[in-house]
Amino acid sequence: MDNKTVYYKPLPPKPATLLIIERGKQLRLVSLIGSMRIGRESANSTNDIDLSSGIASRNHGEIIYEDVEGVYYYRDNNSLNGTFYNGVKLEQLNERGTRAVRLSDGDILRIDCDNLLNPRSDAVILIFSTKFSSDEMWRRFSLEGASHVDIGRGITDGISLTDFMASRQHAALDLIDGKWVISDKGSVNGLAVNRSVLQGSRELAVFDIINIANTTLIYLGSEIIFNEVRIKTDPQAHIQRSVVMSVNINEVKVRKFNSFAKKTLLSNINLDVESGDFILILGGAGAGKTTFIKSLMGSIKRTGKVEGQVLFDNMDLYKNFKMLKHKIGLVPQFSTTRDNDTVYNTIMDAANIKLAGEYSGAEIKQRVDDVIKKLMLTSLTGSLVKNLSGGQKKRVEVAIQAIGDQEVFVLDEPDSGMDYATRVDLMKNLCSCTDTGGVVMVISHSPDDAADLFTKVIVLAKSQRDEVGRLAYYGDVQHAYEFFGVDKLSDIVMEINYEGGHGRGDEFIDKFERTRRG
Amino acid sequence: MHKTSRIKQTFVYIKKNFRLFMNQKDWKFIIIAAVISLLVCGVVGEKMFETYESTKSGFFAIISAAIWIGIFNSIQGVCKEHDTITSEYRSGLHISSYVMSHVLFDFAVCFIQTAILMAICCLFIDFPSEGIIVEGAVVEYFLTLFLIIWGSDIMGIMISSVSPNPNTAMTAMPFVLILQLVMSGVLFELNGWAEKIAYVTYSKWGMSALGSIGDLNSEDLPLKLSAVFPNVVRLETEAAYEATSENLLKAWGCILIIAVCCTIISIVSLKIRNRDS
Repeated sequence: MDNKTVYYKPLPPKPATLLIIERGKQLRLVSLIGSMRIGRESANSTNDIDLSSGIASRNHGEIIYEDVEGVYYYRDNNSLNGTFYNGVKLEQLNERGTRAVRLSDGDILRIDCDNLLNPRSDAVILIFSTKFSSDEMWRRFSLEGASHVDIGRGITDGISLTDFMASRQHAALDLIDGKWVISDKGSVNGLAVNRSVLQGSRELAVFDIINIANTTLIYLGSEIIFNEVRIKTDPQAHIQRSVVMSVNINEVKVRKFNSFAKKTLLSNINLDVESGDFILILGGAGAGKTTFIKSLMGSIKRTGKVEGQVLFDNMDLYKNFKMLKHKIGLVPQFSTTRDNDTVYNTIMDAANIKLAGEYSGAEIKQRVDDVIKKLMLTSLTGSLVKNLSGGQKKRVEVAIQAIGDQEVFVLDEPDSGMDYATRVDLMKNLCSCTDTGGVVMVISHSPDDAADLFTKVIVLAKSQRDEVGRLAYYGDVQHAYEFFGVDKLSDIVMEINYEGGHGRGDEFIDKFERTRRG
Repeated sequence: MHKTSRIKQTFVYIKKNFRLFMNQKDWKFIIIAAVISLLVCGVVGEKMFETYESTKSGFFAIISAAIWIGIFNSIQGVCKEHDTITSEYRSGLHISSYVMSHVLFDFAVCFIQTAILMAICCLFIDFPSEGIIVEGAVVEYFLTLFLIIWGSDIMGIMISSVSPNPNTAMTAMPFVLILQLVMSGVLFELNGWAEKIAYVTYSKWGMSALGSIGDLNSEDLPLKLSAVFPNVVRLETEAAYEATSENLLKAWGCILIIAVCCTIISIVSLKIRNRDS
């Protein structure tokens, strides 16, 4: 390893949002674009985020973005009333302010008086999220005077959700001994409270975050606030990016063939996947591409062990596998559709399997029609699958996955065995799936056909030192060319491969590691 | 949390099975069944119910054909869809619904195949008219053959479920068929462990059922030797072929129990295969 200084080019700030709740005000969502100052509005305010509450100081605090780690922090600037961080008041550190606290998804900042047991009505609540999008609509539901509240899709009395993946009778809130208790009413997709899947029922505490499919509900004591999930068919509907999946894998081990011993196949994979990403996965033979995909899908646990976690919607995929597995769709290399069925029946049956218990026939048909339209399969609905081209078959398989509102699609070499024109057409189709906020990850051995379409590239390389696959690059395509000193994406594999390539895998693994550390 | 109802999913798959049956020309299995029936009945038909040996051999040949027809219906049906099942299981498929849809759809296919087999049998064989439980013996023959074909079909589903691919399933098929034929007790006398294994074969209980209906113990079915040596008579009857309703119901019940076990094994093996999907 050389000891040279590495040129570090900061990446754009990670997408994050602050949900601001103030008395008498509409709920506000503010996109965080790096470091931002927070304070009370005034004529000559220089704050990035203005608050109207009188208990907020003019220069109350600031959000600090640490671009090397890609982490947001909050610091109170020694304000008069201070800030509570997840219920604990931040103490003054020096004349500049309190210590900076690292912000994680769902963290609550509260500008209030000293006694939280007697909170002021004009307190300001700021909820940090990497998941919320600033173009979402948020609504309030008052719990005052109620003893039972139903939560479900399209219900008339209770908390009515617009989320297609929510069940009609998804959950209920009951006031028991002065405490609100939430229970799952036999929903299809379940619900989570504070990132843990709810089994049965549990008592709610103020600021508990409830996840029902793609809807987030926050319990504020006297009211519930929740986002309105719209059917994303319009590409313009997706403006704000958010972190969909966060991969923090220390090590993936699998059992060796004919042995009880385990071998490490992947190590040190840390990356965030954002909504709208169209990601290319590159790697030489044995670099761990398939293992990486299996880790993302959760299926690696069948044969191996993962040290680390994959966070999906900020919930641990492995711990909440049953609830989250429906959100990630895998389109394997070889077709899994039945050749002798029509395109329409194939998609309709997939919809019936996923949705029949909870949705009416008309709703399912509408959903199928939407997906067929979205994937441009309308003219093929009557064709037998066996009569489709390779690209069309892949579109059918993506449509099957898209029925259930999957957010992430992983495709293993979807373009293998196709001619150039079909490959380009397929990649364009797959890229269009990200227009409405979905994520598509593709392993391809012909990446240059549609290089401009990819938003990011993951490069995995097998280290010669320990025969373990590691991350050699994660970032956009343009920087990838610079990073590897190549003109084509396919040349990257040549650079990192030891067999038949230039054998620079370890060099780029180290270079990327240093780049990340700054 | 619950998934989409099992019954609804079962119906979705039954409809799909019908479409695939038509589109991939699986109805050829019905024609194959007709050809096999024709061959077997053509060979054994004339001599049935003349002597004890010819009748017993005839029943054995018909049962062998029925088992072959049943297993061949389904032996590749599940294993060629393993990847599809895995993908659908991840999306919310109930394995039990999937297996039951095959079992129920094949019920109809086996019913048609039995009807063809019986119709051809009736053309070549002069069945005694009196049954044990119902008046028409033909009804009892039909029901017995249907249970054997359907049960074998379900056994085919089981083999297909545990096999990783169609090649393995097709390799296993002859072994299963040989096991069924050997364990029928017709070719060899079974003792010890072989006798115990025979309890889980359709051939043993099928022979028992047909032997009961055809009354193989009857003095009206003399041994071949009796034609030359009239003094040679059968001294002992075989308990398995007792022409009693209890014996017949027991044979039918055992065939059904084996079929239920095969169904359960199919479901469990597919669940194990997809447990972490």
